Amino acid sequence: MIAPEPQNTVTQIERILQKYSKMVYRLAYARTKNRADAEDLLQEVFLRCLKSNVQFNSDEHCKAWLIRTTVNCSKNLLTSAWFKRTILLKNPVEDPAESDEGVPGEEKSEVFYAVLDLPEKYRMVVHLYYYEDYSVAEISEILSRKESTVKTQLYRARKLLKQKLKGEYDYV
Amino acid sequence: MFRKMYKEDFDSITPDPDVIDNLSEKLKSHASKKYPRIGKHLIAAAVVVCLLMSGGLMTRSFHEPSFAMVAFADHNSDDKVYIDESSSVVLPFGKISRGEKHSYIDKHGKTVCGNDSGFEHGSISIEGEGISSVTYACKMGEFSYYDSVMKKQMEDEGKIKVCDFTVPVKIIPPGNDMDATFERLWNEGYFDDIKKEYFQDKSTDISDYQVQFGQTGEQIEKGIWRVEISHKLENGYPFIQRGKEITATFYEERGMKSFDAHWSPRYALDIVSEDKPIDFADLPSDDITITVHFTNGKTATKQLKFSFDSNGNLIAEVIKK
Repeated sequence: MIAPEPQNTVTQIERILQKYSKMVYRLAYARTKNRADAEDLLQEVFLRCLKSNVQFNSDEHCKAWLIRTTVNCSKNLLTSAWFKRTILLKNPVEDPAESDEGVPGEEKSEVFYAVLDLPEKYRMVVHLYYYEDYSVAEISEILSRKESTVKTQLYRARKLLKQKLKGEYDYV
Repeated sequence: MFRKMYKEDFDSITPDPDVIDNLSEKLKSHASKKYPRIGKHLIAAAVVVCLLMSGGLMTRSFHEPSFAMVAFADHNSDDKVYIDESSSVVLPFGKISRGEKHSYIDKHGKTVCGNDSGFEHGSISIEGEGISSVTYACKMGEFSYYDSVMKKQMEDEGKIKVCDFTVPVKIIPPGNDMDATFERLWNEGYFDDIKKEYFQDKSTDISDYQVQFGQTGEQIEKGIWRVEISHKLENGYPFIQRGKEITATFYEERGMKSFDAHWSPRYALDIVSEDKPIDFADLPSDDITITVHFTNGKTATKQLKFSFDSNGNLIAEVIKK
């Protein structure tokens, strides 16, 4: 439980940073597919957290706010001309050998590359559903999307994943 | 299998510790910039102005209770907008938007087309002296209010969670019948040590409680569930109010933040999601009534109209009586 305070103090943000930096970074990575942009997003999200006066009523509230802000900040990044140029020059997923994911020598499964190869709008719901263990209803609430939309996006993502992974995995 | 592999892969995606350290330093320096030192003469001048202003406010609050209405976005409460009685105002939250087109096959095999819809969340609140509670009501949308003080009190009194513990996954395999398996084991005595520790003065009928299973990445590796047993609350959680009318209560520790309430327009999002051309300005408006209850027993009411402009911005306008 994060105690409500009249303003987000540095101590409070420090606590949130220690607790949720990995979660924000992983979500940002799933969205941007590269470490440098994920780090930029991480900084942007926590600076917004400091600047805002949002009161976190609970850990769940704090986590949901961070997820929503990460998604919103990444929208700005993904639509920036700089990001588009960068992607045109280098698409890590098309050539995983040249990508910067993971540390050198660390191998990722085909599942990882298959998810990162999904269209951006599906990657978010897949990450929140399979990594953060949110339900469809919770994702709908956090991302302000209708439940039917989230269900459709998950359905389509699974279909694409089955094609990529040749139906070798169960998705429950 | 898929979930496990995805989690394992992403567990190793972590920010460089140096990035966290640098960010931590950056946050500290931003915070110190936020509160610059102020000269003594400026403080003295500000004190005089404040005394003059508070004198005016105090005089006014004794005679005529009044309040100001404010709105701010979830992601930036610094961007606060006062809802003025003289003109309509674009609120810093509430932008409604239409996303990509999508379709799915419903249970009757029919293809249903629609659009993604979005809404930027935020809150409305009130500011003023001597306020004890605020009632928000609307006709079309929905208000929600999260009473964190009540929740903490209930947690402290043990009215929410009874206990949590871990169980090997092999005992309760994942699937649709996890609840039934847990109930069977509970009744067969597998969890008698838990009953002895936490349920001595409580009902041991597991149907009286809510049982939830969860796992962290580490617990997945270890093959264990985290089981949480909570009290079943007949009418949901009393600290969450949601509906056409909610009442926010003043809590000293939360100051004016006690009165923050969320408004959401499900009715408008449903229309935006339909597979039809749309002008956001044609979406139905909502009538909001804000009733403020003062500590001296008096009440004051203001009415607002919430509508959207063609760009999807949320506009508030005070309805004059």
